[in-house]
This record gives sequence, C-alpha cells and structure tokens, in this order.
Amino acid sequence: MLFNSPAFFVFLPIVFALYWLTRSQKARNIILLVASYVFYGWWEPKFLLLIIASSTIDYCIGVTLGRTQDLSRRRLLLGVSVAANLGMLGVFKYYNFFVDSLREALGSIGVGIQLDSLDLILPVGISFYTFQTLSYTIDVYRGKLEPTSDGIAFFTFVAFFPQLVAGPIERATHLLNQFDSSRSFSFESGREGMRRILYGLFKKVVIADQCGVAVNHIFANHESMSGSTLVVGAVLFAFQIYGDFSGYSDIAIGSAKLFGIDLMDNFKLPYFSRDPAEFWRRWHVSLSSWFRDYVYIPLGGSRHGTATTIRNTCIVFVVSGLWHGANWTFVIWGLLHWLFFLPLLLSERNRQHVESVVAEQSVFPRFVELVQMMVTFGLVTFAWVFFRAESTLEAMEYLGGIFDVSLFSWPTVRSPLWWIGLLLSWEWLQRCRRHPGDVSHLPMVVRWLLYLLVAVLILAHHQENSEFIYFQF
Amino acid sequence: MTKFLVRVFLAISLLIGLLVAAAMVGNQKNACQGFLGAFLDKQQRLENLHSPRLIFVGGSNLAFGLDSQKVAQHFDRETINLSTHAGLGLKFMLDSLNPHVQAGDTLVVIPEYAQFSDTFWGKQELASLVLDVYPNGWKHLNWRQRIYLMPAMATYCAKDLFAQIQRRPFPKLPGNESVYRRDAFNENGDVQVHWDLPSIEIQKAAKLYKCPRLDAFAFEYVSQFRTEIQQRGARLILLPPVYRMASFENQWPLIDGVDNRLRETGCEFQSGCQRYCFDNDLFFDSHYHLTRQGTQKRTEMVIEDLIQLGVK
Repeated sequence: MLFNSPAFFVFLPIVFALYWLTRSQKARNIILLVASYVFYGWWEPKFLLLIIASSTIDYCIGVTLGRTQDLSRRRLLLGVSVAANLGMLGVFKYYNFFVDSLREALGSIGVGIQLDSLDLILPVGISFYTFQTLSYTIDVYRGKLEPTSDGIAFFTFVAFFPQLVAGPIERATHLLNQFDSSRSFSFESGREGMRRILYGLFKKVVIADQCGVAVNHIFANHESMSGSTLVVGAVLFAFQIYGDFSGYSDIAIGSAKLFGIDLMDNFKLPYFSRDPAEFWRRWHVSLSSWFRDYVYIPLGGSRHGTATTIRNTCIVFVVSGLWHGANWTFVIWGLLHWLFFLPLLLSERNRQHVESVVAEQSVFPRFVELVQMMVTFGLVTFAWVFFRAESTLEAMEYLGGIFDVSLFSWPTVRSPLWWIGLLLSWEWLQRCRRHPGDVSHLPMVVRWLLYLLVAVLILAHHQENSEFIYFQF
Repeated sequence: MTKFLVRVFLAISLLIGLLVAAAMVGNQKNACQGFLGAFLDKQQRLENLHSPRLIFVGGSNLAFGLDSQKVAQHFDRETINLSTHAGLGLKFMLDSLNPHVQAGDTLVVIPEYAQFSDTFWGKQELASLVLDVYPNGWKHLNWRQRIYLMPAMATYCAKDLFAQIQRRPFPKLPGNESVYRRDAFNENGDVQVHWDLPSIEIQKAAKLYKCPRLDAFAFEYVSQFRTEIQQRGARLILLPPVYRMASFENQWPLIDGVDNRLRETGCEFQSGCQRYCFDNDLFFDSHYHLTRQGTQKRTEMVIEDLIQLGVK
C-alpha cells in the first residue's frame, strides 16, 4: 500500500479508530501488528513470511541471549542472527549482483564459469526491517537493552507499518519501549502528525513527482540534451529524491504520531549543509547513525589512528552505497561521498557543524556560508548522477555531456524549478523550527488557508501509481 | 480526541466545499470541446443507426486503430466505433451502451489489458465525463463505482481549480493538441487526423515481473453482460487489443494473466493476443495508438477474425 494512494487514506482512519477505541495496550499492539501485516501484504502477501521469519529468529535469539551469560554462546547466538538476517538480504538483494560481477570478472580473464542468476523479486523494505531487527539483537548482545518477552510488542516493533518499508530505521531502545508502555492520545501530537503527513505528501506529490517526470525524460534522452539541461536534470533529481524520501519519512512520522508513537527524524534540511560531513548528519539520519553505531564504531571508529579511521570511513561509505542497491553505480556513489568527506577528516574539520543550523541568528546566510552550501550541494548533486544512472557508463556519458559548449545555452527543461524555489524558500524560512512543516507560529486563518492550499496542490498534482524511490532499496 | 476529530472533519469539509465550488464553476464548454466531447457525438450517432449494427467498444486503442468505414463496407452493415479513452473504464463503456443494444447487433469489445486490473471502474477521464461532459452518465455508475471514483473526482476538481486560477484550458489530454480534441474523430468514430503526422518516440511500457492483481469482478461482469445481451438477440465478440512489440514482452505477465482468466471465465478472447502484437514502427504516440499503416493492417485483421467468427 502506498502512502499516496487512496487506499491508504481509507486504511489509516480505520486503524486509527480501532486503535483508540481499544483500551488495552496489548490489544492496541495486536491491532497495529495486524494492520502492519495487511499494509505490507497489500503488495505481496508471500513476503510476509520473510518478516515473520526474521522477527521470530530475532525474538527467540533475544530471549535466549537474556538467559545466558556465556560469552561464546552469546557470540554464537549473535552470529546466527547476523547470518540469518544478512543471509536473507544477501540472497534476495545481492546474489545476482555478485554472481553477475564474478562471471564478468572471470570472463574478462578468459575463465568461464557456470553460475546462473536467480529469478528473484526484491521484497519491498527488506533492507529497512532487516537493519531494524538486527539492531535489536546487537543491542541485547551488548547489554544496552533488556530482551523483551512480549512477542506481540517485538513483532509490532519490526513490522510497524508507518516505517516498515522505507524507514526511518528505528532502534529498539527508542521504538520497542514505546510499544511496552501506555499511550494516550494528545491533540497536539495528532495535530503535528496531520501537519507532517500533509507536508510529506506535498514534498512527494508536488515536488518529487513533478521533478521525476522531467528527470526521467532528461536521463532517458541524455545523449540529445544540452549541457545546461543535463545540469538541470541532475539538480531536479537531487530534489526528486529529497522530496520523495523525506516526504515518505514525514508521512511515516506523522502517521506514527496519530498512534501516539514517536519516530526519529530522518532528514534535517540536508541541502542547507555547509560541508559533506554536515550533509551526512542531516540526510537519512537513521541509516547513517545505524552505520556509525553498528559498523564504524565496532570497526574501531577513530580510536586507532588516521589510517584505520580512513579505512573505516571508506568501509562505511562503500557499504552504505551497496545498501542502496546491488549495482556498481551505488558503490561509486558511496566512494564519491567518502572522497568528499576525506579532506574534512584529514584536516579534522568534520565536526565543525554538529548542532547549529546555518545562519541561525540572521535572515540571510553570510557569503561564505552561501558558497559552502552551494559547493556542498554541487558535490552531492554530482554524486547523485551515479545514484540515478542505470550503469556507470550512463553516468559517465551523462557527466561528459555536461561539459560541452551547450552548457552555456538556456536549458530546455526547467518547469519544476519553480517548485524547487518555493520549497527552498519555505524551508529556509522554517529552518530554525522543530520541523519545516511546523506552522504553529502562524495566525489561525493563515494556517488554515495554508492547509487548504497545500491539500489542493497535492490533489491537483497527484499521479496514480507513483511509487517511492526508496521502496526499491 | 473530540477536538482533533472536529478539526479534521472541518478541514475535510472545507476542502470538499472548495472542490465542489470549483467543479460547479468549471469550464464545461472546454471539456465538451475536448477529446471526451466525442462521447456525445457517438451517443447521438448510435441512436440514429439501425440494427443490425456493428458496434466497436474499447479505449483509445480502438479510437486510434480502426477504419470503421472499411469494416462497414465489407460487412455492409451500419458500423460505429464508440471508443474514446480507456480511462472511462470498461464497466461504464458497457453500461452506457447497454440500453441501446438491440436484437441483431454485434458488439465487438476490444478492451485494453489494464481494463481487467485497475481501469475497469474508470479513472479521471470518467470523472471528467460525468462532471463536465455527460452528466447523464451518473445514472450508469453504481454506488461502488461512485465511491471508487471519489479520489479521481477530487483530483479532477483540484486540477480544474488550478486551471481556472491560471486561466488555462482544462481538461486537456497530454499529446498533440490537434489530435486530442472532439473534432479529431470522423463520423464513424475513428481518429484519423494523425495519419499524416510523424510518429513520436515511445517509451517501453514498464517491465512486469508478475501479473498485477486482476479484478475478478471485471471478468464476471463481462461474462454476465454477454449473457444478458445474448438473451436480447445481440452478440458480443471479445478481441484482444493491438499492442506494440517493444512493450508486449515487458507486459506479458499481465497479458497472459488476463488471457488465461478470460479463458477460465468462459468468455475468452476470440483471437490470439500474439496475433495483435505489431511492429514498433506502426505506432503513433503510445503502445496502443496506430499509424495509418498500423490501422489498415489491424482493420484487415479484425475483418478476417469477424469473418472466421461467422459475422455476416
């Protein structure tokens, strides 16, 4: 079921009503669990078995970990969980990629091998829920979290429908505890939830989908496009993926709020970042913090000298690229970000913008800040070309096409740029607020006019069957 | 909770009110001059023809892909091509035709494959038709269909509102403006104004890895409709639509799924789907719309099929 489909807007109120009409927390969790399975099964019911298998394995391992203090046994249990979860992910997502790459590599040196690709469909959201359930077992193993004995709460934590298929990737320490505790409805929470849903839909339907039409056209015909149009295409893709993914996250966070559940923020105005390190603290926060906590730090983080730190960051960026898809384009995308990050790391300037928002005390940024933001956006957009292209060759051709005399011509596709201007202006004005969709400071009449305007805009731009980009990951 | 529900209710009511107001002051005249306006002409012409008629029903695959005059000459029967747009949905196409069917009529139904998955109940084009072009069409919609169409109607009204603010024509189908309009149809109901225009590049239809969910009701409905008109002395022939080769393979799971399910229902296509898979260069601007050469080829094949099926 898609968040931007009519079915969801029938489904959500039904679940909302059933949930709050029920008094017991256990029954509410059961309602959420059943609703989550219906939501997921809407695509392909048979893939529910994978979620149930993954949840069952980690639930049982969690309970067993809670009963044993024997280190070797605990390691074994953790190994089983990691192998089972990554095994499933590996088979469905990476098997064909590795087989094809191996066959090509051996073929290039004249060695032919008989390895067939499998005819597999990637289950929606497998990368998201696999990481979520894995984090639970690792946290229990590390002693950071008491294993839960409440199976319903745990299964709901893994399958919670607002964030099941495209995150935010939650931690058990944050989300699971909420299923264990009592919840009551608050008007403020409900109102904020609705605002975030509305704002998320605006970003998805009005920004991302409009950009997507132009992006598809430009990438499909890149050989015949002028350099300036190719630049516009890359910029539009940067906003398509931002609108698409952050829009999804907003709808997820907003929907969860309607059930009294708080999800972590996943995007914090990433295109106002002043350097690539800040970008990664603002883009897909739940994934980058997951890699930090479960890959980077276990590898030694920055505690064993510069060389090890460089190696560890490289691993994290490459794995992050591969997490997005089984294609060399994603590996290159990850490597590019590592290269952008490296100078900051080596000059120890990678933590200079940790908490603050750009131009916090003024309306406009300083000239230096403006240049920093533009350079960061330029680098990120450059890397997005690899992310969007279907092959490295296509990405190289696309980038090659930019550096041409036609770069100085007027781009032939530019219509969605107006919407991007509107989005950027709005988010700039809202940058110091809790969330860009927070309009609580505006007078009531203005707020309601905005709600109506945004709702009409969403309806007027709605395209049927428009999926979210991150579903494929 | 009450405060929250009241606010949500109020917001939804305001939105609905705004959309209804937009629909009421909408540009009906423009909608009637558009592509869907041809529906009115076809209805009128249908009433003036005498049984036994040859009536073609389908979406734009048929509007942009049949020479009805040639068919009429061959069978020496009054012939009409009732097709406009697949978005009207097969249910509405059949329901709006039902009262006009007479004994001796032959209905040749050529639905796009998606009519059996997600188009059967109608899309935004049906909302446009019943809101702005043919308000009488409401009576052909049952309650389930009206509820199903609500999102499409809301979207249509919102688009209408924006078009009014921007003072631009609405509704307007994507594509060549000289082709997608009411007067593009000839008196038999075929679009031929594009025959001398160059074809445009067509993107392949998306690759399907499995058959999308099929609408069981659609199969049952077609089967029941056939039985009903047979009882009135008319005949229904179901033929597959023509399809562009480049997209045919990508869409095979859907095509095969529809074909098999129709067979199971006992109301199968009376010709092979592969037979109507045409070369890419016979298409004008989509994997369903044919050029002059494509239309001629398809018309001959339809005539051959009808002869084989005993149509005289």
